[in-house]
Amino acid sequence: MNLKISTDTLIIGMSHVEAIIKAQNISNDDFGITVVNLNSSPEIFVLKERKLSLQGIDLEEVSNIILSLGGNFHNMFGLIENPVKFTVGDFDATNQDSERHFIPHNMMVDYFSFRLQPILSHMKEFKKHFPDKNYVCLFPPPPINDDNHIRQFPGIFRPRLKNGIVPKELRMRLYKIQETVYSKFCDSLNIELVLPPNSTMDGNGFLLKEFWNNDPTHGNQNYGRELLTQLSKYTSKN
Amino acid sequence: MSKRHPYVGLPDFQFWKKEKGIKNSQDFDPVTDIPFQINKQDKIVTAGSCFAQHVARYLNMSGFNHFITEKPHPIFDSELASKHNYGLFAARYGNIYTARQLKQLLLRSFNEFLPHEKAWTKSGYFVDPFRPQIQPQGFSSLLELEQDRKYHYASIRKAITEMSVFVFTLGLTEAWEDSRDGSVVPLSPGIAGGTYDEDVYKFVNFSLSQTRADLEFSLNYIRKLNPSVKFIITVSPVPLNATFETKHVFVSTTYSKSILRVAAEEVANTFEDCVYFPSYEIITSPYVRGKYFAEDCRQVNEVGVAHVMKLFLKHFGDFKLVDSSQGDVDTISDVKSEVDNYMKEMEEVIDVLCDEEIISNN
Repeated sequence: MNLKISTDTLIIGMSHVEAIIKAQNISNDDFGITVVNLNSSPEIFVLKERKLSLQGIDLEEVSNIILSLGGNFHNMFGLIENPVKFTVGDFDATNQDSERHFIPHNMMVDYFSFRLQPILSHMKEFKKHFPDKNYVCLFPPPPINDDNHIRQFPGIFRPRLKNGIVPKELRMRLYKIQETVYSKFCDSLNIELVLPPNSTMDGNGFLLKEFWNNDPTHGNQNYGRELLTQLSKYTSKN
Repeated sequence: MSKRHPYVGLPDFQFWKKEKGIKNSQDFDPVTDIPFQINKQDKIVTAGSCFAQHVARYLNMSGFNHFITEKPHPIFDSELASKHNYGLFAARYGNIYTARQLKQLLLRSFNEFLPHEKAWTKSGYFVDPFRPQIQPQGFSSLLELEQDRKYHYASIRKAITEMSVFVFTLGLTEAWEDSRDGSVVPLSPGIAGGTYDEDVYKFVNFSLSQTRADLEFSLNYIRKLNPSVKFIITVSPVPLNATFETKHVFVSTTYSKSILRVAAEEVANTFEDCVYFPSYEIITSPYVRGKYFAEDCRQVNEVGVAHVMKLFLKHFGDFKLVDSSQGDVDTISDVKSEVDNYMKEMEEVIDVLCDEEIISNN
């Protein structure tokens, strides 16, 4: 037995769950939630192979499983310009940057669906392995709308900054496409998809400054605190 | 010494019982005078009815320069690109069934015809009336459709002005015409989008003179823009799926194909560097005894397509038919490897990003 969870709610996911862990650490309250980052749990998840191994987890006391998987996928396209710059759907219809290669919206949706399948199939694996739990899928935080922040804290994207940063509206477009794909997938599995709290977003859906981590893509502990508040309703579902 | 009669000394192919195809249908070869050759550097653009897709596919497979100007972004693989109708033809125009459609496509692409109908709707999304099935699940907004159309027309202009050879397959004479401006759509509204309004959309069955005039117009139009282009005209052997005439569908088929065949012949005889290629005859001749039609008696099977293309390749360049694999959809190949490497790097970055996140803190 590798891991036993004793709280009634488990949040299990990838890098975006760190914001929640930080919030728990600061408040010294776990809110009745255990958070597991798969990227630092090689006994459950081998990152390079993207292989999940659930046999060693004891979730007998867990009622609610909140999954936060593959949240950074949209940033593969949505942060740094591709060598062949692109536009999606009716983005740039008025600006008409003729350098951008047009991609139909639904073609990009199909692409996301195809590429996200391996990650999303992990949700199926959880449901198959632990069928009697209440499942929720936590969607990642929205993009940051400030290129200067990205330039100041590019993290691992630094070597590619010279390619340029994708326009924020296009980054949002890709984020929304990912939401479409997740929504459809969650519907098919009868899993509730939880979007970021409204309190963390501006009027255009971008992540508010107070919730930015010192990197280009993640929320900070303030964001984690908002999530804990939002997700607390699931901890009472015993 | 004069001949006994005028038929003495004529080539064997002018005599029915001399045809080798009587004994072995695979030997049937009705191709005679080909006025030009195609080499593998020649940019070949194909268009036409569903049979034209087979021509395009075989050109792809045989290493010819099937000139694709509307390419998918390099991040997409062939399967997804094909699903979204990239690579089927030079640009995503879909099937062009009538000569009138070809004429109007040219005029629209070069901004000489702006149709009244901009878009149809279907189940909450938008479709292009002139290629209603080109985008799976349609376009999400009218703006997106217009963006796509802009890119599409630019791709057509590039294809027309730069191609070396244009292969056009005539398919139908029946069509639906918008009575407000004469624009012709490939499918009646109500089938793949739009609403059928009988006061707006009228059935038309183009006559021989109309078909010939439209085809001549189109070839002249193309030649003005591209004086050295060569033309190959062919007629699809695929019967009509449905006829709006109150006649048996096969009777309507014979009428349509007759008109198309005569129009193709007359136009090919008029234009320089323009030849009729007998795809229709190869599939429908008694020599092959109907075995090139599938079980529905309508679709042409792969054996039949292979026979047509074997002769095409043989007579236009003495090439051999190669394997029957699908072939990859052409992307922007000169940057494909750069994009592939970039995407791989981004995947690794995301992995590391996810990994490093547990170390960083603010």
